[in-house]
Amino acid sequence: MPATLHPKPTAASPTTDVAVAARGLVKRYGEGETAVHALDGVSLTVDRGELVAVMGPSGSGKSTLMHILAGLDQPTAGGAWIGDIEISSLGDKDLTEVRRRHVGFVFQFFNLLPMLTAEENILLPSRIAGVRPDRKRVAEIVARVGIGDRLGHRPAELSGGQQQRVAVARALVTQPTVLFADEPTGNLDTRSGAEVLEILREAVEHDGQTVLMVTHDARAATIADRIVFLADGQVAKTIGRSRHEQVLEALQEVTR
Amino acid sequence: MLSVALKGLAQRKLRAVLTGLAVIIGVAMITGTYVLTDTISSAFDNIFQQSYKGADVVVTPKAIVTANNAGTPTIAASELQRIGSRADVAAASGQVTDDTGARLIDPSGKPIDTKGAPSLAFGVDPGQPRFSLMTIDQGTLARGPTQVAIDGETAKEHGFHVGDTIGVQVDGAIRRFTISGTGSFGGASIGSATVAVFDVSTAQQLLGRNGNFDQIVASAKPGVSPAELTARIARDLPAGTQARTGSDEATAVAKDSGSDLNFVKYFLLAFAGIALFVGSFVIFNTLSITVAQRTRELATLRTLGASRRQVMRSVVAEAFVVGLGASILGILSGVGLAKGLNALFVALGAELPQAGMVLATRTIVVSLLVGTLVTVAASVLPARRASRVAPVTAVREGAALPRTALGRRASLIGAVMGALGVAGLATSLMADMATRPRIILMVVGLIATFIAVAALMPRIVRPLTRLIGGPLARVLGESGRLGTDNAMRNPGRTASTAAALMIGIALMTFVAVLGNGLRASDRNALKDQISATHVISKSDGFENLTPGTDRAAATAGGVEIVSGVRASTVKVGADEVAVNGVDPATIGSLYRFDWDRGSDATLTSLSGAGAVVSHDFAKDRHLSVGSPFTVQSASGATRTLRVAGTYLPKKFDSLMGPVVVTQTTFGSLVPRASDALVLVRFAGTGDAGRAALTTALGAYPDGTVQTAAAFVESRAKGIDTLLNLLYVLLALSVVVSLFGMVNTLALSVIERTRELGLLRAVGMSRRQVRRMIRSEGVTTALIGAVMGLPIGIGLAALVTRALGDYDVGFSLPLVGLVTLTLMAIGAGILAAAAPGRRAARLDVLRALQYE
Repeated sequence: MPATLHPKPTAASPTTDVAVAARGLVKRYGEGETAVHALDGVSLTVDRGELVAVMGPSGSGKSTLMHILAGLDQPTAGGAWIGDIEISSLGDKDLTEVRRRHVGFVFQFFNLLPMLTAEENILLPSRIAGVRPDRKRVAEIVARVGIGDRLGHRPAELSGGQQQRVAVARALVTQPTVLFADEPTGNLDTRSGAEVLEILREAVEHDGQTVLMVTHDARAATIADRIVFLADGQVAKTIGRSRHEQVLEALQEVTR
Repeated sequence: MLSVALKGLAQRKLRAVLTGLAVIIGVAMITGTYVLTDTISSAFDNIFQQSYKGADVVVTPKAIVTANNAGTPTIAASELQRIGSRADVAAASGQVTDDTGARLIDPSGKPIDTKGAPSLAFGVDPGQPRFSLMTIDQGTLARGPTQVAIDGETAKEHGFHVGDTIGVQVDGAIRRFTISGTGSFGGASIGSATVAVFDVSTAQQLLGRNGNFDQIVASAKPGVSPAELTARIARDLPAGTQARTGSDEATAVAKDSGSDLNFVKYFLLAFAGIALFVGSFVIFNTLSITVAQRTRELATLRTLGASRRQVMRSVVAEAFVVGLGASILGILSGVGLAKGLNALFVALGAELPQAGMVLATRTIVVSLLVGTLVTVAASVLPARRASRVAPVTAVREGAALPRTALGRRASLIGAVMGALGVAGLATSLMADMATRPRIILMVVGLIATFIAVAALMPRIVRPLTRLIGGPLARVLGESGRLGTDNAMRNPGRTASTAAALMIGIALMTFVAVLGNGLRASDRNALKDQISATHVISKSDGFENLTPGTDRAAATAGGVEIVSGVRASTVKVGADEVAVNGVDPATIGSLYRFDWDRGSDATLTSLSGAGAVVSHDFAKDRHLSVGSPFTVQSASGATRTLRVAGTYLPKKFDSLMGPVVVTQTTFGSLVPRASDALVLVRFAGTGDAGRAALTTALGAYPDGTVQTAAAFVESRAKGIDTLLNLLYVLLALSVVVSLFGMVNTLALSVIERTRELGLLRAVGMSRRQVRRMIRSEGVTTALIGAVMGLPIGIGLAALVTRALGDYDVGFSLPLVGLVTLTLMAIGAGILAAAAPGRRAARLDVLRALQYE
């Protein structure tokens, strides 16, 4: 295991540090004339404590970008970093270690384990890593996401919004270097979606949590410090914190 | 992580139970076998420990011939005097023991049927009750020539009381005795055996012991230990006798009485092994399916930081818990099964001594270990696949499980393994090798062949399904066609489900085909040998008839010729050889010898030391006509015989042994000579002959009279008892594979919930849904049958070839094969019942929303 995996950067690290970086990422499927470029030279940095949203039309490569940045997929060319670890060249064992220490996930379909209660789901990453969960932090996060009275329930007994809040709590408890959110509001009604977004934003404000969110929901993007638009596998536009209309406008511009 | 596995298991209880059932049956068979055999041997042990309780030393003759029909040497009465007069002996007593000598007659005048168990007779000194082999409960031990003590169980069953008169048949004549007391041999029930205890001289006289003893028991003076006394007595004993402490003698006798038990044990354990092997397919399949269905869950675990190892371990842990739980349940059911197996043996005519159940530590350890290990081993491949699930699958829709390297190479591995397996099997059957490596090679070869076929099966599922699907669709319509289509959707899954059934079907086919061949060969061999019109034999077919049966048969009107075939076993050099005593004047007209050197004239002129021997017997000992050879009988008598001629006995079920002498010569070797068969020629119809002979045998009711044709038929069918036992035991592994089919179908129904909702929405009726699932079940079962039948037939052909020296023929039992196919179809229908009902009950709306 590379020595660079240690020590774990804490949330108190200077926010000017880079949490996630992509350099000239290329992802190509197939060969020769029929080759399809899902990513065609994407470079991007996300600072610590920054919430970046990645938007773009279907097929723009935003999911592929996130998969590569989260170490779920390998780029054809270029590199991806989490902190100062180049994850695009790591083997399965090291990637497992990176996931334990540095990465949190929030999925569109929640991906809670159906046989575990809300509390057990939240504690699961610590259990898997074999570390004792920080009880104080767990209590604080649970209070913050507002599911204190649902801890003993199984996912099937929770509403969609509640399930996603459990999932966010699960991702936040371990204080990952970066939290990847894949369409976190994609399967929620507007109100539940807004609640989840609020929790994500608060994590950034309160803990200095770094978040990279892939979304096609313009409303979701309004919580981002920065919005990166992808089109045809390339960065088409980057804008700062924006209102709903501004996001829609930029999105249309990119889609055109 | 472990808790994830366990909680997952807790949520899928029914699936866990169905998976577990596959193991429970096998483990129950292991436990049941051990409990049954341990219980029986402990019962024997208790009985003999109890009956030798009062003896510090037991002196017995060393057996010369171990065969059951041979008898044993005796100890001279002078030996009792020598032992009794020793300074270190407190008391000594000579005793008579006999396994078959005295048959008790029930109040209606018929001999009591012991169902294959011994009719024990003892001679015990009533003045030395401490040495009595029987514990008296009521009355006293027998004293004088007119008294007998019998076992309480027989007394109770047939309504005898102390003081009643009872008939005892020894060598034909029935003598009447007064019951002096009842008791039990060794203080326990010994199944259907009867016990008659006389005083010593009465027993000696009845059983032809000529004043000699079968054993001498003695007790030590105070201060001399049994072991010490035994060692001292042993030093002074004549050759051919041995001394053991009472406890050692009891152990030795018990072991001897239960000597068939080891065979029974390994025989039953082999079937437990088959059930577990089939069970491992079911576990493998169920876990493979659940892993596939949990792909997203497993990928999520990976994104949360679980390593491959952790994922793999969680699947193995799940299997471990299922295996352990199933093994525990298996042990509990095994104790019950032991009772069932006992009942099965009783039903098949072998009643065994009963005592408290013995559940040894070894039984528990072996059962737990084997059950758990088999389950864990079957989980390794599915667990490996689970560990290969890419984390990205958590966010990707509809991603399938990657095929592992092993999966891609399954066909190649299967082909190589199959070739090696068949080669191993063929070698084990054809090559010249020792029994143990032969059996190991055979088992390994068979297992390899089955796994290989299972590995290759996914490739042929589609063509086979098309073949089966055509007729099925015609019978069941559109829903039938959909069902067979479903069976083709995941060939790997259908293949390994069918493979489990295939094993049971293949082994049943093997048994049916080989059994058919053996029966046909036996029938032909017997027909060739017998030229009599009627045959008198003992109903159980193993023991000899009561002496005198032949003379009684001769008194029947219309009988032209009667010829008894005496049978016993003697020692020639180091070998035990079956010997027959025949009447030279008559045997030639009733039994056909296939002469090598000699003719029927050789037979009619047979006398004195002359012996007709088999060709192989002569060849092995380099004998030719005129050569002398020496035989030693069980009683110790030796005699030199001379080869008068050689013959070629049937290789399969010859009624004559390798050595045939005159009845007179036979009588000089074997004191209480008795016939295995009596051959008769009757002038008149078969039925008239049977009636006349049966009447003539009034005082010898243990002899069964049959026409020659009926005798051949019933003897050839004797093999059916064994076949039926094999079918019952193999049926258990078919039941195991049935659980596998239920599992697969149920999991498929869950997987296709949305699709089923759609079919219902577009107008499929509940009945059609059930029919569709049924058709999928039947297709799977038929694939198992279509694969199993040829494997079984091939295996039987191989074994038949290997048995070529024994004239075993090969013939296909068409009815049996059709029955097996129908049974497979039945299994498919049965397996589909519950999953079909579940599919039919799905709420259409909810099914459509199911995600």
